[in-house]
Amino acid sequence: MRSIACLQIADFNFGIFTESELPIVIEEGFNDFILEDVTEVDRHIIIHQGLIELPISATLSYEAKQQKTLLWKVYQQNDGIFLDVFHPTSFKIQQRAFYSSEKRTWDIYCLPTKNKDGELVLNPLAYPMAPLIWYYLTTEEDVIMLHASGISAAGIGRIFAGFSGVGKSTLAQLWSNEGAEVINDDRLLLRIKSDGLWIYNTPMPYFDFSKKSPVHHLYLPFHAPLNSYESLSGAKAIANLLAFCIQHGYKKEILFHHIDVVQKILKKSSIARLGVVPEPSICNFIQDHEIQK
Amino acid sequence: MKDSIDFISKEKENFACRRSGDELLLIPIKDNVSDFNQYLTLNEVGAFIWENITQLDDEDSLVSKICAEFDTEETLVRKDLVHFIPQLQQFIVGE
Repeated sequence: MRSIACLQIADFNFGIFTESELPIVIEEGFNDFILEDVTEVDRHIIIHQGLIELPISATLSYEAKQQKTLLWKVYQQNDGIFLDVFHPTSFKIQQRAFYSSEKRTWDIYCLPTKNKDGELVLNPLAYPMAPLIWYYLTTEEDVIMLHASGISAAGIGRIFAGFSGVGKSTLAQLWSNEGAEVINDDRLLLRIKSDGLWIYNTPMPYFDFSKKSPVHHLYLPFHAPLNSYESLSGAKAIANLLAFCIQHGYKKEILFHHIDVVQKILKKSSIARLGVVPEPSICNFIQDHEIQK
Repeated sequence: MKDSIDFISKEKENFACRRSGDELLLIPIKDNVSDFNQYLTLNEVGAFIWENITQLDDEDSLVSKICAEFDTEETLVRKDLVHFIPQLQQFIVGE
């Protein structure tokens, strides 16, 4: 078994190994997430050349679709889950993966493809496989994946969570114009650690540096004629944040785990619904309300 | 009220619920996905009703259960229940 690389995602180490002699593609977006000299890994990813048969005992539990296009299927198996991940345009199986929660190990099976030089290679983390691996991390650890932008300004981290069109990227850009670092403007991992809450970006289809920041304030923005600030608490706060927590299918244990993590997060951070006029003054408006609290 | 009690009892399985302090968070499950945009929070008494209501119940038995659990007057419980049960049914229907 040869070691390919170790990826660090949200301070979790993913060791990648293979028995295949083919080159393993690690796309450009992963480059700054690769760690050198790793001694301990939190999850193993083992790459296999070729697909295996799905066990007869595997039962279909979820199909992810975008309109009518099938993106991936989840099968429950006694000792883990199988994922069939489909190519976005050919619709053929791109990866068949098995995750053993007990072993904390992903086995990813994929067929060789040709790279631009005509060389046969394996691309085990091709989208959406990698984000699914990060997602399943959220089903076991004190971490959630959010539809959100996140920024860090003068050591203060802020999250703006919401679906497309609510102004996540606009808010990140406005803060960036004020000198803040944008952790990501679309998707974040939010992790509870012993020293507080942290946000992290994840590898994207383009190059970006691996970034993280402590986070102190959560916002749920919406377009409004005037800036407004409504502090949330209790079950309302939990449900409002969970609405933007990425979840793939319903499984009671996973839902309850996410609720528990969100409850812990909200003990360490403020949360508010934020009516937003997308102008630079929103940054001062936010800071003024944080000071008042 | 008996029809509403039966309806709520049958529909309970389509909700995930979780305690948050004294509140109970109800989240509907639709098409194998939980819908956090249509949630309901219940206070301590509402949570008790949700957790204990069954198809075997009617208004009288529910009132008895509540009075046995909480130190309150039966007439007040009955009055509140008449408002609460239709509201709960409305939430389930409308979710």
